[in-house]
Amino acid sequence: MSDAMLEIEGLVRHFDGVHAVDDISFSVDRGKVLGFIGPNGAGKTTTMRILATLETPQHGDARIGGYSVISHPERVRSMTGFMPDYAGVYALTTVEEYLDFFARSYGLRGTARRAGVAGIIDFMGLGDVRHRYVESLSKGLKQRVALGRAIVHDPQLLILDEPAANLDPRARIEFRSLIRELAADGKTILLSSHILTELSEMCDTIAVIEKGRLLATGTVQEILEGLRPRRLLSLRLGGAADVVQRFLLEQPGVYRIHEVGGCVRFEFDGDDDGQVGLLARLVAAGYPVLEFTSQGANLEDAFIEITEGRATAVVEH
Amino acid sequence: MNDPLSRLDALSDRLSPVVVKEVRQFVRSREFVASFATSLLIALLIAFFGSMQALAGSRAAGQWTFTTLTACLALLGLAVVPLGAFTTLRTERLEQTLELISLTTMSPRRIVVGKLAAQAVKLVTFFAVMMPFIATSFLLGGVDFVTILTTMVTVFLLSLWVAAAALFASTMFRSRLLSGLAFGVIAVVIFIGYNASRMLFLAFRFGSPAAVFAGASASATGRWWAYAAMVVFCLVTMMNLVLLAESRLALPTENRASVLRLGFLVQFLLIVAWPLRWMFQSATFTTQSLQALTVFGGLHLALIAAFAVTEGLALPDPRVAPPSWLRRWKWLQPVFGPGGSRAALYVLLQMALFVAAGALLSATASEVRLLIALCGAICLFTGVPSLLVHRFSSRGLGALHARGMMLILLMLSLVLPDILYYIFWRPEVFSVQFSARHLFSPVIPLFNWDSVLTNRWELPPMMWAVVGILSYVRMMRVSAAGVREAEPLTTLRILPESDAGDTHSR
Repeated sequence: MSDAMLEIEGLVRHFDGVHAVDDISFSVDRGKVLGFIGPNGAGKTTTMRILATLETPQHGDARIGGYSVISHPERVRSMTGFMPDYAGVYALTTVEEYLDFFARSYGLRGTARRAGVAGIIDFMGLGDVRHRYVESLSKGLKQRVALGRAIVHDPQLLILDEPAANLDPRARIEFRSLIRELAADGKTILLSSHILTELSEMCDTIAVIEKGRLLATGTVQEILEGLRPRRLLSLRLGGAADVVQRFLLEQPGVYRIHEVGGCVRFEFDGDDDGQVGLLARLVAAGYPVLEFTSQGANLEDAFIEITEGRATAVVEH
Repeated sequence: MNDPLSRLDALSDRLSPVVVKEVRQFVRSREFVASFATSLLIALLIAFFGSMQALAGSRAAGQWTFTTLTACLALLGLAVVPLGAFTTLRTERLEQTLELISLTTMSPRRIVVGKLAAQAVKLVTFFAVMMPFIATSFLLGGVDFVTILTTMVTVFLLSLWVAAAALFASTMFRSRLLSGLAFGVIAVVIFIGYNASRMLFLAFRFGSPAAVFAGASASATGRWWAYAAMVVFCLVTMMNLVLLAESRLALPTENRASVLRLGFLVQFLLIVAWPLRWMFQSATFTTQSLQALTVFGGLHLALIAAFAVTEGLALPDPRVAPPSWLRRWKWLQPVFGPGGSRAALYVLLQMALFVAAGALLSATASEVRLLIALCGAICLFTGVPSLLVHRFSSRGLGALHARGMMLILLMLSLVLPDILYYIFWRPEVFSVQFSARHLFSPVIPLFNWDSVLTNRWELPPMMWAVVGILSYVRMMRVSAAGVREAEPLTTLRILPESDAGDTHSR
């Protein structure tokens, strides 16, 4: 039996002829974190809303814990926590009352409800503001409350739409650590964000979507390797850089040498052992090597290249 | 756990979460505090002036105090509370918090009922403020206990009904302007309804010719029956308002059409049952009952046909599960299942009941033919636009277009015979009196049935009726074809409940 917590098969959603989601399929295993990347209007939010049972697909289906979002929406809701990209707060309602209301709405009663709310307040670090009105909180605290609301019923799958948007760096770091803790607790998490460096730190896998179509899925490493199969190396010498270029050209697996700001950069088609060998040969040849570093491509480069069509290979997870 | 607050908290588990939240919110709101304090002050002043009158020797002091206090209570119940109900749900929609509640395991019905129950709590608070002063009016004399009790029950029920209507109005449109307009329209309708029900209530309590219409003629027992019937009808229509609001809030993955149809069927059965009560009475009563059946039954049928049949002939996604009762009794699906074509059978069955009830009450066959012509006209104005819209659905036509077309056809049928007559024949005398040209309209002859009978012009209205009924038959055939086409679509690999249950543990 598959260990997938979330399975999406051929999901299609059109709005007045616009393909918001166009034949998307992927799956996420239990306890994994998947980052959903795409420009504005790519179809991330629509996909997430379908998973949260707020929209229905015209074709295809999604199953959460084995339950279809179309035929068993009630069961899907009980095992899913959705945090949309808006705060959704009530006037004249304290943090504790707000969480208490959603705990009740998810069917928690008595001790389970009280313990659940207290646990969330403790976990989210909201103890100091529990008696303050939600509407009077800062954006960062409101986001924490919203995340608390999404997990108050202890869901197995968390769907977070732009959870770190509009947060200051400190709040963002705090939020990131909360997500990490939830993932460590065994929750399956699907989150979208524009801050790609954060996604690469938090997510086990990444799905890139544009114009409703899935362009790439896989681990961050797989995507980066699929995007740039050769290593990009940088070399800085004690003396003039131009003399080493002829030497490098003669080495096996070295391509596209160029000089940038006093450093020599080149692509190297080889593994770790090959890279060590190259460094050894440089030193043996008497070049005064000051720095020898690998310039890894980051997720932002990958995102730009994939969405602009320069990278076409789709990495299957 | 033994302190009163903990015990209250434990007790609150039995309440709807929406009630708990709403009560917490409204007791802190300025609007509630202001209306509470104002009503207390006004009640105090009224009781003071009433007492002054009584001390001056006035015998009508008690009645004056009671009437004035009831008017204040009615103002709170029929204006302040419904406005609060309207605002609370509209704010939830605008702030998108409603979406967050919809994501929980709470159904839209529980949400709407919770909102209504919260308004009931608010009403009880206002009643509690007024009650000691109303008791003063009883002590001042001039008004009996039964009058006070029935008035309070009536005002409370009417207020709750108006709050339900306000909740429904707030779900009708997303935009602030349109939902405000909807509230305005409903306010006007309620004002008219309030005056009508006030007249009926006064007739019930103090007796008048209107009491005959309400069925409160003969004895005290009869009047209590009439009052009970009014209360039941109020409760059933309130339930349908809740169901209507629920259907507006339901997510696309939920089928709410079936339960709505069931609710309106209950309402229709009440409308039919009440006139049938006079079946074995004198001719005067049966004639009045037939008139009541024709007006209220016809209005009910026209409204449900206009909304249910035009909802679109295409069957909804077969993967969306029907309610459990419909899964259990599958044979009810052709009537209660979603989709405009299934609604056609639902409406036709009610029409058959309507005509049968009319036949039991009527003295002549021509009266039955009027009922058939009325049903046929309803079928014509709802069935033909629905079929046309279905024919051109690939061009983006939908339920809204069908309803628009229905209204246009209705207006044209009312004015076109006269317009064409005056354009082509140019008579010297202007008159819109019923004549042969009006037989081209399916509606006008229904309002002039006596003239139709006198002139033996029954054939044209009956032909219109046949066309209308045939359009419904065509719709049912579309439904049958839709079911056959929909079957191969259900190819999703959905886990059986027994298997899926193992994977879900909370």
